[in-house]
Amino acid sequence: MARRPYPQEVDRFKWWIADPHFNRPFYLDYMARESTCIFIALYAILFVWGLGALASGPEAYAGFIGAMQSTGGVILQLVILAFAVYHTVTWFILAPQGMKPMRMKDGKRVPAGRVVQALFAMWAGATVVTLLLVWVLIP
Amino acid sequence: MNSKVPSHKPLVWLPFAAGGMFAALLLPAAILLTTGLVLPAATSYEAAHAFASNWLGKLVLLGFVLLPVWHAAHRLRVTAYDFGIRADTMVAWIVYPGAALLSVLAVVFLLQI
Repeated sequence: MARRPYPQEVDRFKWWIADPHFNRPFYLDYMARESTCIFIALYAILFVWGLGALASGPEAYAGFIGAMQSTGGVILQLVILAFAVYHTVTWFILAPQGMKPMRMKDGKRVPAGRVVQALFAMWAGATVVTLLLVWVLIP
Repeated sequence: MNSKVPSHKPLVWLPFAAGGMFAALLLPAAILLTTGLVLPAATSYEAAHAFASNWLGKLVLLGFVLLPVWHAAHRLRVTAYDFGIRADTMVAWIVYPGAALLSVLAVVFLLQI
């Protein structure tokens, strides 16, 4: 008897929200993580716009900062911030899976959880040091 | 596949990983600053201009464009496939030149300051 394979139909646009055969929370989480790049790219565009304004002079820069620090600008950046933080958290949680295993002096593998904790500590440190440096550098 | 042909993957993966780590560690702090909700004096014209006037400041600001942009470009290319856009070559021809354009603009603007 001939084999009759069953090719399951998958909607290539909506598979991550609509397909009942998939593990939806898992794929939704995956797509949320991957989508953070849209917001990181958007922020980079805003950043380059700011550099252009800074190069053009005080008036252009005032226009840029006015837009960034208007209600709409702040709301947009808070949305970007939410996705940026989601990127940070997911990036750190996945980091032990993407790097060469770290080993202690006796050759034992450093537990993945320890690596994640160290990364979160680095994040806290980097944020505090950045803000302190900026605070010191304000003329 | 001929294994003697060097793969282009390290070329794409290095900026992806470096940019991802940079963005993860420093982007939230940068966003807090540009909203003006934290240390609003830091985004005054005088402060920003003074920071961007020396080469070290320029290098830091360039890092905030270059690293996240190449990370985002590569991830955007892969994510486009997941969103149902299967024309990978076309997507690659949009995201990588886009990242290159933003990189060049950042360098040009920083050199003008």
